[in-house]
Amino acid sequence: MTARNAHLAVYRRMTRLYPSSFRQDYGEDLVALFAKQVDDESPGRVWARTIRDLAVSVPFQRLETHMNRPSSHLLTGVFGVLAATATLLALTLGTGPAMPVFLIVALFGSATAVWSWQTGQPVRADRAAGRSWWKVLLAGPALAAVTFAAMAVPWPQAMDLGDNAYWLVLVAFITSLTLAATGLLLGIVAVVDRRRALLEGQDWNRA
Amino acid sequence: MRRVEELSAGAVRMGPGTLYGTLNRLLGDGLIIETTDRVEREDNERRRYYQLTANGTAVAHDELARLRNLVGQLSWLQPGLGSAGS
Repeated sequence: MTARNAHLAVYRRMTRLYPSSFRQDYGEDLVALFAKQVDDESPGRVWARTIRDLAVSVPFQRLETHMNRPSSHLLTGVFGVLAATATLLALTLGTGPAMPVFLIVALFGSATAVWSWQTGQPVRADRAAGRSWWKVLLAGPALAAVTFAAMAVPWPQAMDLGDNAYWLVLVAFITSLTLAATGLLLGIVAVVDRRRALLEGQDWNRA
Repeated sequence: MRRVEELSAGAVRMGPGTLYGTLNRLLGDGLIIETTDRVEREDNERRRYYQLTANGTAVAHDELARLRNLVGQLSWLQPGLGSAGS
C-alpha cells in the first residue's frame, strides 16, 4: 500500500464519524476531495486542516441530523388531526357551552399545525415574506364573504346546525376581522421597511 | 475550496466536511440545486455542479443588504470605520 492510499484509507475510516445519511450522500466526494488535497499539498498540512475540519463538522452534522428529524411533520400531523377532530365534534356533538371549547381547540390545533409545517419549510427570503401581506389582508374579507354566502344559502334540514351556527358565524367573523387587521398591520410594516431599505440603500450608495 | 481560501485572503480554510456540510444545508434549505448528476471526468476527478435557485438569489441579495445595513450602522456609530475598505 502506497503512502497516499494509506492516508486515504485512514480518512475513509474517519468519515464513519459522520451520520450515515450524510456519508451516503457525500462519503465518496469527501474522500475524493481529500485525495486531491493529498496530491496537491503536503500530507502533514492536509491532515492538520482535516483534523480541525472533522472536529468541527462531525458534531455539527450529527447535531443537524438530530435536529432535522421529521418531528415537525409529526407535530403537524398530530395538531392537524386534533383540529380536524375538534371541528368534527363541534359540528356533530357540540352543544351550546361545549361548542366554543371545540372551536378554540380547532383554531389552536390548526394554527399550531400551520406553524409547525411552516417551520419545516425551506428558508424563504424576507422579501418574499414581506410581499405576502396582501394575501392575509384579502383573506379576511374573503372569509367574511364566504360566511355571508353560507348564511344566505338555505341549508337542508339534515345539515341544520341549530344554535351551533351562531358560534360558527361568530368565530368566522372574528377570524376574518383578525386576518384583515393582521394583513393591514403587515402591509404597513412592509411598506415602512421597504421605504427604510430604499433610503438606507441610497445612503450607502452616497457613502 | 482553494477559491474560498483565495477570496478570503487565507482567512477561511475549509475542509471537505465543512464544504459538503454547507452544500448539504444549502440544498436542504432550497437555496441551491444540483444541476447535473455526478460527472466522472477523464482524469477520474469527481465533480458535482450546483446552481443558486431563485430563492437562493433573493436570500443572497437580502443578506448583502443586511450586511451593508450593518456596516452603514457601524459607520454611523463609529465614523471612519466604513471608509476603511474604500
